[in-house]
Amino acid sequence: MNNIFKLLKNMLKTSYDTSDMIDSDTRKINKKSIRVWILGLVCVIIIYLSYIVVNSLKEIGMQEFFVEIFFLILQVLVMFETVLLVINILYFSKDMENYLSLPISSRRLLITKFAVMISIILGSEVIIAIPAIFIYGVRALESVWFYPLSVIVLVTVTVFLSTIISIIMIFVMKIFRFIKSKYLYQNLIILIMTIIISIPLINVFNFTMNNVNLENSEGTTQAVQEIRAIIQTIKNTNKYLIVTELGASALSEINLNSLISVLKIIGLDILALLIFFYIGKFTYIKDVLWNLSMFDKKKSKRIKLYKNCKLRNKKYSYMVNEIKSILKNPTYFMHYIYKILIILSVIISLVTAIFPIFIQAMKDVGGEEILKDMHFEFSNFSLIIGIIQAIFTFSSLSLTAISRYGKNAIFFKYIPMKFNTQFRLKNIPQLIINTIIILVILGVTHKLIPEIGSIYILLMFIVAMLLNIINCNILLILDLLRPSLNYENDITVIKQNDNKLFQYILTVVACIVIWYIKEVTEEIDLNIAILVEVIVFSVITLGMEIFIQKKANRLFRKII
Amino acid sequence: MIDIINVSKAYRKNSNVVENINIRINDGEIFGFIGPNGAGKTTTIKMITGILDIDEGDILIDNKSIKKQPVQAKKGFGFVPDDPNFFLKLTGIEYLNFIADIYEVSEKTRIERIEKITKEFEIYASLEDKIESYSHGMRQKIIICGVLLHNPQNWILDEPLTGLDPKSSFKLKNMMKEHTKNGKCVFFSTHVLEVAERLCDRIGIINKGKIIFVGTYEEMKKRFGAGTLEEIFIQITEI
Repeated sequence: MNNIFKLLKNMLKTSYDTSDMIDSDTRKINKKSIRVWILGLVCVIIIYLSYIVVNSLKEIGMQEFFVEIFFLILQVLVMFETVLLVINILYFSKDMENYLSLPISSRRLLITKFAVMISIILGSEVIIAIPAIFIYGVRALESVWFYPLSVIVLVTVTVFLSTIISIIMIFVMKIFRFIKSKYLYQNLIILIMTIIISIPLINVFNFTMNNVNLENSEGTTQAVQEIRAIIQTIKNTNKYLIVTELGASALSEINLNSLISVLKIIGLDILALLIFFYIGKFTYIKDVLWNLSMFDKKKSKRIKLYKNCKLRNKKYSYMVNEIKSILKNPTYFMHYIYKILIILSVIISLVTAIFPIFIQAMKDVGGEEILKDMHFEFSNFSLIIGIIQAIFTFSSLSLTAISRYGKNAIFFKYIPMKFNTQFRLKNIPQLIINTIIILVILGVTHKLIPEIGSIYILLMFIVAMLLNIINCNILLILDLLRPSLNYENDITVIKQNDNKLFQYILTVVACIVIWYIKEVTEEIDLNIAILVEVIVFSVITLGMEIFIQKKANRLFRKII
Repeated sequence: MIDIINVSKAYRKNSNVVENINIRINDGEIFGFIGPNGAGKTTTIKMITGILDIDEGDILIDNKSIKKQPVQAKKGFGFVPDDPNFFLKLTGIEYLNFIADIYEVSEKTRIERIEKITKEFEIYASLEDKIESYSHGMRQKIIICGVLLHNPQNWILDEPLTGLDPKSSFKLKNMMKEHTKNGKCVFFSTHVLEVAERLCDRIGIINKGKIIFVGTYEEMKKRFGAGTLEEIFIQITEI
């Protein structure tokens, strides 16, 4: 046991770099650390959003459903994070070869690696889940027992879900071993696990939604009834996922049943862990060794030089290389592409489900006339642009365009290509992702509110694209000014990126600018207001382009 | 030809890492750059290749200033860095093609050269494999192949023999000689003094940021007394 703790301590040290977060002299939190500020900011945002949701539910007397919604979101996040971490930490971590040469048994190595994985997931929960559930405790419950109990429930539910996903992954990874490319194998596993997680969840959701029976109570509007139907659906969905049902019921009301539910979850945890470690004892080291020896080794002796060696324009080749470096790396693919696709899918699903309810609610309160009289105004235009800017925050490709290469980024310093050209080419992946976001959001807007003319959709596209260029340029400048070239592994590039704070600040500033333009142009014609916004963003874009053109050499200075 | 003229570099004010260096590496010669750890070798190489800005002085690559005409100057050399862990997710052939595109090597030439060079370094059969699956030596070889692929006038090699097997090391040394026979120049840093002694036409020794000797091995012996390069090196760097 002592060995496991020593090993765990060592692995955690390499997984977490908290050196700048803790003041080495006072052993207290370092207030100068940017990462401390990022974590603080994320906590504040989550507390604020949770506060709004809990209060809204309290107004319609359904505050306990916050726990249900909370657990459904949490379990999806935990399951997806587990998929990524099983691949990156359990099976394909860079330090694996170092540990394999040590006299450590398969079981001990598995336990330690699994503990590292769980600690990373729980680390995220401290930032995301704890503030949210504590706000619920403050606003909806009065028992002090809620707080320790909620921590225990979060830990035990997480352990159970991660263990189950890990068990499934052991088998899925074995089945698809015939794929000899590690890149293809890892991405395929992620895709298969997404299907394994999502399809049953969607089916259960659809099934329960179709079988919700709500009593028609007098005095309630159709909109409130529909909201209740959705909440009931979530509650029923949780019932199918035994452990979240237990977690939710433990925290909905604090009594003896809560304790029983917690004990049941702990029992399920122990059972799942026993199964996992039992299977892992026989397979883990074998699988790791197989991964190390089989993938991408001596595939073919027949090299098709004539087929492979095609002359391409050097800028095109550079751009393709930038895109390939993301697509070929499962960690980057998962965080930069896959995450955005999931977020967009969730937004589309939620908006298409909630928007008709909102319209119905307006009609219920006699707002049919108001709806008819509603015109597309600049405030609506600004709101949509603001939403697009907020979604940009989820993607930080340009923010790591240099840091992703680590020490090898010096390559870009000695190749014969102008730095301003490289700057623009490095921004292309982020530009593409942001353009997809814009197209999806505007597409959904056009579908839900066909009253908005195509010309305004086009104008929104132009403004959003200008904002897209500004975002990409600022993010890349940030990475060039504060590059992090000494990272341990691919995950730390993303997770320990201090510059993320500046991306949040950028979004806040951009939203303030959008709001300010709206305020200033309130009294004038919609078309002129849009024109003002286009001019403002064009001037900023042009100014940045001139700056990049002139100062690109200085910007690349820190890559050494 | 590489011309280093009055070059100085300081990371902090009044604390020069490299001070007033003057070296000219002529066409047709192999120049060995040696010095103890922290002497300023890597800083100098980084300045020659444009990775680091030059505080004072200038560096000319075939008479093109790395400060004023960086793109033209960079076209004139091929650089092998000391860390060969580049583009690990690409396959060997993808990497070489990328380099060939960046240096605008024609399709016909790149096919011929890739086949010839990679066969010589015995990595031809691994070209379809990802670089991350290569050993340290193989990674070193693919980076060297990338430089040979665009056949630059000047080779700048930082510790190029580290990690190479004896056969490949022998081949690279022969290639360096062949390259200089064709009127081109090779600038390389090394810690292996025997290699420098036997291979280089001239040697430059840097210590504490200053060049303390530039010349042939014979000139060195005349100036510092008889002995192996190793003995002389230890004698003059301990001063």
